[in-house]
Amino acid sequence: MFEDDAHSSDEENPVPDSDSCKPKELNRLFEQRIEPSSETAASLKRTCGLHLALSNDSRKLAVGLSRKDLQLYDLGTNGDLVLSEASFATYESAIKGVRFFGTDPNSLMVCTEEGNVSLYDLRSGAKAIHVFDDTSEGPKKTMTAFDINQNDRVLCASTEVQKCGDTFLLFFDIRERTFLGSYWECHSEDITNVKFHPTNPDLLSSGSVDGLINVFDISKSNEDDAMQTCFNVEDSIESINWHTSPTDQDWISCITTTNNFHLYDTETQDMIVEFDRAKITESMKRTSSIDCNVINSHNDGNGGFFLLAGSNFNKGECLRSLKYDNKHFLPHRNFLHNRQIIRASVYNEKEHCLITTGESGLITVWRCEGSTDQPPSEHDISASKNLKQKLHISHRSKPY
Amino acid sequence: MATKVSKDILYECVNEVLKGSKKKHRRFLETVELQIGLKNYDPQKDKRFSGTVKLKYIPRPKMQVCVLGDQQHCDGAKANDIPYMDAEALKKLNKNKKLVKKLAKKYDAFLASESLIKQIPRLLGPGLNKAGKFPGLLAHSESMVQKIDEVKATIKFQMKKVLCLSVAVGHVKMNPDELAQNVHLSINFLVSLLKKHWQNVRSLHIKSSMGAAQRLY
Repeated sequence: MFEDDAHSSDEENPVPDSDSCKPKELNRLFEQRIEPSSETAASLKRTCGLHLALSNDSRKLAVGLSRKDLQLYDLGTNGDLVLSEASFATYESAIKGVRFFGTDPNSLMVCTEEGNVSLYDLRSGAKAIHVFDDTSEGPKKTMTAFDINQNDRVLCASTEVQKCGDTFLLFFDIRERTFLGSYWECHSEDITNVKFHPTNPDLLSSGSVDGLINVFDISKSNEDDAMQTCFNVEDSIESINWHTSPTDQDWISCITTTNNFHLYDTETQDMIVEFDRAKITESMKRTSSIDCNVINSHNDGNGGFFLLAGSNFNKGECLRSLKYDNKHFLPHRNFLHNRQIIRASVYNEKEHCLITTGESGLITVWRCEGSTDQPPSEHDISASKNLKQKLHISHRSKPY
Repeated sequence: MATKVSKDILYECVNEVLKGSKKKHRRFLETVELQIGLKNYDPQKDKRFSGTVKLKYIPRPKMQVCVLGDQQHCDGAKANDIPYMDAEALKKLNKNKKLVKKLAKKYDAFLASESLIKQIPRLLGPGLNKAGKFPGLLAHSESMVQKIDEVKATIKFQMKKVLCLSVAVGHVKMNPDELAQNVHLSINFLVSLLKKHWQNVRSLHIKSSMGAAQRLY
């Protein structure tokens, strides 16, 4: 009589998550098996890594911790991570976003929940050179995320629903250090993510708990005219990302708080495909969809993109990527010896390097060999042996 | 997972809630809510707990859905006694914020044909966005009546900063089986979303709007 959700376990002892195929088959499907190039603990105290940002020269990494600390690391071309500042800045409220300028590896911005966006010049020390002030009406707004546009001119910060019932996108001119204005009619719940287009400085997208992805052309003079497209995902949105189609059209993807993935074409305004967590779990070759943790989607630098997903089971030991290919997700990379549930990731398209952090406060660098079209070979096995040796050496960076 | 709340307890609580509402008759249709108390969860660190879930039986029968349709959908809506508006009718609102707000208030939800949904920002501006009533997509490949029932059966939930969450899962005029199934489905789904599943659940209750809470777990 009870039609249970096929993915929920209705037994006395639910079957634990595991691979859905034998190791031989798994290795055949996931041709690229990546081991950590280096792994560092952010702190000896319990903390969770929640935000990552990589500078445009790929040599600096900023990490936002749940302890409200911001850390800085130097990233070597060989994948080594060396701590530069264990506690570059500490904040009163939770860190909600970290970003380097697109054109300057020394300019860093951090957004905190209480509504401050701080700008730092890493060459002049840890005191913010400017804190952006929201001079809009009403009390200071609690922030949820932010992004900077392609030419580092405009900053957009998103907010929670405020006491007045409105939820905002706040805009600042970075160079002039002024407040430009806000949008406040486009969402009805907390806005969880904002992402500027990677190359078009006027195109902005926002995602919210209300289930909408809005796309704006901020060159227009008001919110009504700026709003170009709305996609109704009909589910609470966690994060959004821009991608490009094989024919160079703009695509937007989102990950929902329920671990589903949707992909939209911004030109035709159609949904291209949607994957629920059961489908993603199946593509990942795991058995338990209720443990599926969909982390992020990343452009691979070759015109395509991949989905990073893991399992919450056994402290997140399973971490894999799936390559998007014509409405399918294909097995891509298997990240071995992962030791935590991942909460943030960045991918360096030029150096094919993935960096992750998560609930155990570890920061892991995964160097992926070359392009994704590499055929499987003996080479892979010997390469991973070298990486295994490296792992022992690189635990030299301690927080103090 | 369902065995954590046995069928016996589930039915016992469901019957208590329904009995309670029959005892003291109210002038409105009481909603039945599922209340979930969490533990081992840190809203500052853990992933946001929110989303939507489709129930088996419609929890809010009085919900009014309006179709913003192309010719075909408007004809279908007319035939089925479903409120509808076509592109012309929307254009007549002239993007007037007051009129759009009024429209948003008139209905609980909207569905729009593919061709129309793409024009909503241009035809109406952000009024429906602000009201939290941006239309869902009504495709030609699906039955309109079925899609409307789906919309009526879908509930949203969102946990904000405090460790408890309340979700409307039914109403007091439902029969025990229907209510029990909705509660069972909701519990399964919500618990499945939590990182540690049942280890993140401190308590579960159901109650009618005016009635006493019945403890399930």
